[in-house]
Amino acid sequence: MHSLEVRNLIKHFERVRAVRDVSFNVPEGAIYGIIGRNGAGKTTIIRMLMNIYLPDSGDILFRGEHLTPAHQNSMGYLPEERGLYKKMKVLDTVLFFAELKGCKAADVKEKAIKLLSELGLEKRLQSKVTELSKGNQQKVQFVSTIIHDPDFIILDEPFSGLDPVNTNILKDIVMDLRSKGKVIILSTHLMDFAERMCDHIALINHGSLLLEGNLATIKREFGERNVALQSSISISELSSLQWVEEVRELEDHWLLTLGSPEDSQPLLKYLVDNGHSIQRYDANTTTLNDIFLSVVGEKEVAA
Amino acid sequence: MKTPQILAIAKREIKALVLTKAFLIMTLMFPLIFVVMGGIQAVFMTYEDDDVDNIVFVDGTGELEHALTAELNERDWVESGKIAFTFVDGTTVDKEEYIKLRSEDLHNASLTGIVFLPADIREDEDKKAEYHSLVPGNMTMVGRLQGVINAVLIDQYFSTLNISDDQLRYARTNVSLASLKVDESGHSEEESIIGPLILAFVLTMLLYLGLLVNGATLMRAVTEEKNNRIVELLLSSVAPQELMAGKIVGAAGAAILQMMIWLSPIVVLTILGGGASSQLPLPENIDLSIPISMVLYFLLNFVIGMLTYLAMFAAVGSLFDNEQDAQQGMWPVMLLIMIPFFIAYSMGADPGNSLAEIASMVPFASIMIMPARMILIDVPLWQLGTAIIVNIATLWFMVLLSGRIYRASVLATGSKLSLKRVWKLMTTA
Repeated sequence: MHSLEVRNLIKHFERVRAVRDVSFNVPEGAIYGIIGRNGAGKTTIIRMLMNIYLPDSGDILFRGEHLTPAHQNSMGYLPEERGLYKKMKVLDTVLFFAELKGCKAADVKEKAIKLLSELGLEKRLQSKVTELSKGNQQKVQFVSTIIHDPDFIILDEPFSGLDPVNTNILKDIVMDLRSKGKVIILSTHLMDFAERMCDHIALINHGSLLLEGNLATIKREFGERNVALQSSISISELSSLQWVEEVRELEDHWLLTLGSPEDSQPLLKYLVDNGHSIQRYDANTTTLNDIFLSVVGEKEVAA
Repeated sequence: MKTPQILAIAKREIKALVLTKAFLIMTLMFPLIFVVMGGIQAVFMTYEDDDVDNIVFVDGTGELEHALTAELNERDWVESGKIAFTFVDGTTVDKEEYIKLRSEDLHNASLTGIVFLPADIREDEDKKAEYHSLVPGNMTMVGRLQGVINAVLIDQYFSTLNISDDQLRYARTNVSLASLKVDESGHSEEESIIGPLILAFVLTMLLYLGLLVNGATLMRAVTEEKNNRIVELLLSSVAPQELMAGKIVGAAGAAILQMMIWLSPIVVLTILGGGASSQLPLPENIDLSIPISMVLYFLLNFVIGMLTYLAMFAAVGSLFDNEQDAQQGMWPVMLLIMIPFFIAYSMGADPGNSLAEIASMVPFASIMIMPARMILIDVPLWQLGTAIIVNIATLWFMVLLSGRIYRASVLATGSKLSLKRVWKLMTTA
């Protein structure tokens, strides 16, 4: 059984079709990435998972059960747009959100202090939220998300606004949670993070699901026919070659789509034989970013 | 319903509302403002300048000076020496000429006014006299003079009939018309409405003031929560209706706490003095007792009213992104509070009128009007029951509706919300 099944989800806002017939399955114990550009519909999907929005149609099943408000207590949610009560004290804030998830403040107080201390906030427990830096406020919010020990943790753009040090701290905690068997759903537009952290992905664009599945499988299948090339050969010569079906010009390299996986070797031989310098030739190691650009369409991304 | 979560929200809300400077200031300032206002009013009411008012009686009958002087000397305001009287035999005086003659005195303030008593005033059915002054609108002065002249004329009239002093006292006494309430079993009994009237007035004023202070604060809190996006986190744990319920209960808790602070001096006085009436300057024969059923109804009505109106304030708050816009959205709620308030006051003239009867069972209006009706007439039990059911149903509906508006509008920030858009969001969110 999947931990979470999303079936034919549809959501309109007035005339805007925000989510169009999206289906995907989240396996147990995985980090599942919902990726896409800003405004692709990721947050709307997540809000429906959290029972904040009601879908126009479609089903959401948690471990085989239809989503009800009761499930909210086994979920932790870090929204993209973060907000805390500015005048509330740090520890009180975490305990308040624990109470909202059905915990008794006294039962989780020690745990809250431990988690906050692990993130370096042990001396700020009685500070008001407004006295903290933005990064520290995010840590408080993150602790509030996981204080009630949820089975599902939904993180919407968790790294936005964090400096590299705090990003790594947060990343380590997320990986640690996965190792404890938690299901983590992570929405991001940062492809390199998604690539490093996610086991599975769903690629959303304009509210539609373009690609879904195990990230390693997707990369392998995609990589077998796709080569990242940085070379002195001209684009016109490259395009005219019999093995090359399509050339995309990316930031610092070309992404070639070949006719078949077997065309890689003759192409490499051609480049060497004709004296073209080669700075990069990656077959089978296509990045998620390449896949994203290839699937979504580079022009659209630039637009 | 997630009751522990609702209570957690309510608890936080009370803390957030109470532990602020604004709450402290408002709680202390309101009674202070009342005391100061009352004091200022009292000072103005009793203020009399040091100048002596000089009044001339031009007595057209030529026979009233003695009686008027005797009557005037019995009055407190004459004893204080602030008013001096002189008499002129008016039998030979021409009114127009006399006014011309004394015009200068009037203008240099050595004379305050001239009273003309016509020669036929004792025979004239209308008892017409005139008071000429630069300030004829001085109602206190006119009232005092009128009282004195009237008393003298009545005495004069009865003295011609050759009756005893007792008979004269009887003739001067006003009728006392006792109003008795007939109950269902056909018994009439005298009922004092002073106690219930004071309680209803105090509770209505408290409801009004409490809403004025805490309604606006709750509205601001909702707008702020929406503005800084906490609401998304809250809605990931509880339903909008539950969030609303928690916030409203919290705000009501803060309001009731505030009222307890306001009322505590009276309670302390009552306990220390063994009865409020012994501490308050009330006449001894006034009955302050209130039927216990009425007290219970008033309190229930008060709590339901507070919650209902707070729900409306919260709904208004959730419609707007910033405080300034939200302030403008307040007036429909204020109207719903004000209109029943005025209907309740209009009942003084005829407590049994059918507008009041219907209004006392109509949502919102009932909260202000039913207590007033209960004091003035015996309200049938079925009407009381209807009012309670209507009020609870209204509260329930308001919380559901506010929750729905909340869910719809709370996550839709940015562009301004029209009612049309809210309606659309309510049906789609």
